[in-house]
Amino acid sequence: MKTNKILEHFFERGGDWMDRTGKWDGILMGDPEKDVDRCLVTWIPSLKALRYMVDNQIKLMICHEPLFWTNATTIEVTPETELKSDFIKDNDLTVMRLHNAWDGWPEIGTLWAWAKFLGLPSTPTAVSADGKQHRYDIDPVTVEELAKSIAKRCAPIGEPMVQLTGEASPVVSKIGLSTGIVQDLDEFLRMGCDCSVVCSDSMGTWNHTQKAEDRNQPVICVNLGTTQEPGMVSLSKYINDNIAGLAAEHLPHGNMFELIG
Amino acid sequence: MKVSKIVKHFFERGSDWMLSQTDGIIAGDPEKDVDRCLVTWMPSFKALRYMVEHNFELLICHEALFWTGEHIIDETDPDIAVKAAYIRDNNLTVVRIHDGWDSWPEIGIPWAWAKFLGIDSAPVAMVKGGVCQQRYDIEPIAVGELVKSMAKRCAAVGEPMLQFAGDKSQVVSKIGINTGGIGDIDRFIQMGCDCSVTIDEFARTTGGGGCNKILKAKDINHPVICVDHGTAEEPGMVTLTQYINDSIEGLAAEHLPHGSTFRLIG
Repeated sequence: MKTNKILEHFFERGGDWMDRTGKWDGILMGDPEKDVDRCLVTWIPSLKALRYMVDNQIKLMICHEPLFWTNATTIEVTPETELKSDFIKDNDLTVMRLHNAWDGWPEIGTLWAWAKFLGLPSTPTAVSADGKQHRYDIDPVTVEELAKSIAKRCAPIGEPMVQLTGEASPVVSKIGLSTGIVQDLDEFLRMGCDCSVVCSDSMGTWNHTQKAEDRNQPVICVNLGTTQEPGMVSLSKYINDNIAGLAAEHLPHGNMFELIG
Repeated sequence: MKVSKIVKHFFERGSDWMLSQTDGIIAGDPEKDVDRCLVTWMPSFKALRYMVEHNFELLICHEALFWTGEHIIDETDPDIAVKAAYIRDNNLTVVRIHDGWDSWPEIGIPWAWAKFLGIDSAPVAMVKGGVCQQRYDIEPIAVGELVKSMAKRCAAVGEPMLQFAGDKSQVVSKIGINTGGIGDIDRFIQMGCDCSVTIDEFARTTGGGGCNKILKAKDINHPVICVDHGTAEEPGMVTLTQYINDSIEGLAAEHLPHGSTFRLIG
C-alpha cells in the first residue's frame, strides 16, 4: 500500500479537526509513494524509535509528535537535525505524523483513549467548546484515592506516582480531563468539574497551579507521554482493524521521565 | 521600620538587575511600620492566613500575588477580588523581591540552590547577561548516582523523587543548573555542560522549553534532571530570610517553607 494512500484514508474519514496544511498531519519525511505493508506506531519519532525501525525492517513510522523537536514547518539545519535526517534518508525511512487527526478522532482518539485507560465512563458528561477538555462523572472518591488509582494504572507505562497539588481529602466526582498542551483550569471550573486531571505540558508556569491551590481546586498532573500512550495503542488497533494490507506494530514510549529517589 | 525603607535597602544594594516590575510593594501600605516579616516563596492564600494567625503585617515573597506577572490587575475577576479583599481587610502589606534575589551574588536563588544540592564551589560559567543558568564542575559521577543524591536532599523540601531523562550510567562532571522559567538545554551544551538540572516549568511546552526540549536532549544523549520550581527556589528563601536577619536592623524575618508545588502520590 502506498504511504500517501494511508494518509488519504485518514483525511477521507477525519473531519474538520484534521490539519490539511501538512504541519500537524501529513508526511514529515520520506517517500509518499513508498509501498509498505507494515508500519510502526509510536508517540515520538525519536532516534531510538528510528533505530528500532531499521533493526526490525520497518519502513514506515506513524507518530504523534514532530521529528525535529519543534512544530515549526521550517527546520533550522543544525548538526543534530542533520544527524537525524541523514539517518532517515540513509535508511530509506518514511515518517508520517497524525497529531490533530488522532487528538480529534471521536471515541477512540487520544483523549477518549486516555479516559478509557483511567477507567472513566465511556461518554463524557460535558465537552469544552474546542472539544479538547472533557468532564467525566464518577462515584464520589477522595482526591487522594483518585490519584492513587490513576498512579496504579499509569505504573505499567512508567509513571508509578502522579503529582497532586491541593488538598488530598476533598471528595470529588466531576473529573476534568485533558491531554496535550491545551487545557484551561478556569474552563474546567465552568464545566462544573471539582477536580482536574491534566498533563505536565499543560500546566504552564507556577501561576496556574498556585491559582488552583488558592481557590481549593485539586489538580492531578500526569506526564504528557503517559497520557498519550493509550491513544497510540488505539491508533495501532484502528490501523489493524480498518486499513486492509497494512499491519501496525506499537512501540511504547510512555513517561518521558523516570522517577528516581 | 517603614516598608518603603526595606524596599529601598534592596534597591540601594542591588545593582542594575533589580526591576521595578518584579521587585517592589505589590499590595498594602508603603508607609507601614513593621519590625517583623514573613518570608516565603509564594504569596498564597495559605501564607496570607498564616500571617493573620501569627500577627505578621508584612510578607516578603518571590512570586506574584495574582498568578500573573502583569502590572494591571483586573479586580473584577472574582478570584482576584477575594484575595485582594483579604489583604485589605487584614491590613497586610506584600513586598515582592524577584529579580532582586534571583541575581543577588553568592546567596541569591541559583547560588543557594547549588549549595543546597551540595555544590560548594563557585560556578565555572554563567549565561551572559543573566545568572539563572550556571555551570558547576564536580567530581565525575554516574548521573544515576547524582540524581539519587539530589533527590535525597530535595526530600527535605517535599520532593523525594526527581524526574530523570537519559542514560543513568553516563558519567558526568559539568553540571548545568537553572532556576525559574529560564533554561535552555542548547545553552547549557554551549557552556560545555554534560548534564542539565532544570526545573519542571522549563520542561513544559508552555513554560519556555517544552517536552520537545527534553526529547531533543534524549536524542542527543544529554541527561536531564528535572526538579519542581518550588523545590529549587526554597533554599533561596532561606538565604533571603537569613540576609534580612543579618543585614536589616530592626526587622526580624521568619521563613515559611513552601517547597515542592506538588506531592507525589502512588
